[in-house]
Amino acid sequence: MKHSIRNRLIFGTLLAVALALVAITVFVGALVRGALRDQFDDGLRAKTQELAAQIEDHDGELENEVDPRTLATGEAYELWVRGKAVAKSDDHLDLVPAPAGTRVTEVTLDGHPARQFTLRGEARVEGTDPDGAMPIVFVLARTTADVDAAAHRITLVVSGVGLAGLVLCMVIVLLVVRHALSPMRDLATAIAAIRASDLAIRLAPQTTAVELASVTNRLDELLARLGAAFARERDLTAEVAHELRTPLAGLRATLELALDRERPAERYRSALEQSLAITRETERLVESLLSLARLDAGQTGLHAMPLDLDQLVRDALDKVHARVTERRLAVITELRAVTLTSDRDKLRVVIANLLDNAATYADEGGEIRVALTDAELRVSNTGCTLTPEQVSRVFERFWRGDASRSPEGHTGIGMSLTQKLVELLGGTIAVEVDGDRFVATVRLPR
Amino acid sequence: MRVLVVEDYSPIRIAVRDGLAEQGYAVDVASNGEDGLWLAEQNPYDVIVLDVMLPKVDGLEIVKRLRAKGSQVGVLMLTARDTVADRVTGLDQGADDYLVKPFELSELFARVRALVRRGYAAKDPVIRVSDLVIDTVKRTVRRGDTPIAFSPREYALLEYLAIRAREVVTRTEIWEHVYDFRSDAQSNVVDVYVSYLRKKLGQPPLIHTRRGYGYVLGDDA
Repeated sequence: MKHSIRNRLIFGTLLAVALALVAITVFVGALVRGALRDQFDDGLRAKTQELAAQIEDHDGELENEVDPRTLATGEAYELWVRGKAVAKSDDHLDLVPAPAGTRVTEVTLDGHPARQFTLRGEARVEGTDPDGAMPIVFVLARTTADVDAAAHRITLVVSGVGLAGLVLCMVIVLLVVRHALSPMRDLATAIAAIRASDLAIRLAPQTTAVELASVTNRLDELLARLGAAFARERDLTAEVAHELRTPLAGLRATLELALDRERPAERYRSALEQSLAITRETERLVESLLSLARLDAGQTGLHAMPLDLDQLVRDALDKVHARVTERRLAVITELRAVTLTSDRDKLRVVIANLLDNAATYADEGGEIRVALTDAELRVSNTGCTLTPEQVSRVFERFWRGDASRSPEGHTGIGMSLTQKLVELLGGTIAVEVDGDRFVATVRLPR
Repeated sequence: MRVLVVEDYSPIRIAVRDGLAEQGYAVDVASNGEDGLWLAEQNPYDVIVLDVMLPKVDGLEIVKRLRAKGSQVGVLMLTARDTVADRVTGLDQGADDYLVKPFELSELFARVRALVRRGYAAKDPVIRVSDLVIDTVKRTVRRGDTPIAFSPREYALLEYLAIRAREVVTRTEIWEHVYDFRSDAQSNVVDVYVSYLRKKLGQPPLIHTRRGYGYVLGDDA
């Protein structure tokens, strides 16, 4: 399941902002209501005390001078003396004093929420009272409708401001997130613009976002690897084209010249023989290239069977016999009987390539040495002029000691094919120069 | 005209050598860069047909070294690589022309002819000296309205004298430009062939001897 970074950022941020705003609204509302109530209570207390002060103990006689007209609407009072209700502002309304010790309580006044102040004390004594001051309980109740309405209004205003803030925040967050994510869009555009022909482009310098650096760096590494692979592929294709064009050019020139005018039969014969030889050579090249391509693609299977390695080497030696004789090469063999389980056809190609190389690159009248011990085959030839640096490159495709098709018929892929095959057989191949000797050593698993 | 062919791949080398020889050129060959460079430095070739990828010294290096020594020889590069970069490199190195393998022999011959003409500052493939007309493409010769047949060697000599018409041409120059290493090295062979030409060209005589110097075709003013 794919998710959107943008949506996550937006919803996450908005959720946090909304929670903060709700908290602020609740807190401010509570604060305002508290302040309003304190103010209300202060006013209630003051008025209660003021009214209570008008109750006098006049020589033992209660003198209630509370003027009902001083009461505002939504206010009511009641007076108890010695536990007996003696006066109230409204006959229909019964107030209940709060228990001793409490002063402000919440009550209902005529069905409306109200707060009342309960004052316990003594009436002010005017003159003398032998019984002592009269204990009185004076209660003043006032509906909280006004203050509740004010608190409600303030809550509304605060919530409205909060909501507006939330909307504004949403817009800002949307814009910020969109802007913040723009490097990602730019990166996507830059990636989309990359063509196979232009892998030299690098993304890291194009992006300014630190967070994307790790991504762009990895991408750039990938591009570099891709570019190298493409370049190798291009070089290889060019090399293959070159390798195929050269024999084609030879074939064409030979045939064109033969057909240029009437010629004696033997001229035609030699031209045809020449053409056939070129065709065979090209065929071998194409076969090698195909084998190499299949090996590269991992499409080559192994058919292992028990075989006599020394016999394979002897067979291969027979095949280069003609060239060995022609080039007056001395062949020194030292073959032990070796039996192992491996792929006969592939081993045959490996051995043939090694002997072919030796017979081709040995100096005229030089020497080839073939030694087989256990699972190690060592083929060497004299007349090697390669430097150790050059020798390390013999496995490169189309590499030749002198950057050319020389000697004739050698394409420069034999050694890379040999190496690939040996690796497929689970063995190793190493080459070195020892004086004027080129030495190739193949080790195969038993 | 004398041509050097430097190509390591023997089927191409042999076909180009034989083809050019049949076209009347004196042709020397080399199968590697080292021999090619040595031959090119020793002999005044009119054209060198040069493969780019060569053993020992590659074609580009040969051109560079020849040009560095002031050689004006026409160089036709042969290569299997056909990218613009490859062609530019070859031409910038001092090659005159470029041919991508596989090529048609007739195109190679035409380009070699063009390079020969360029070497003698001639644009017209038809050379005219008084009433003598030599078509270097068809390799035919007329004097007035009469066609004259020549052997390849005779034609080669006549063409060389004609392309340098009205100049004194020494025997050494003739030897160097008309004969290759496979030719019989007889000291009087040039004089013998000049006499053949005189005979075939008829009257009035076109080839004059400058005793002690050489020969002139046409009137040296």
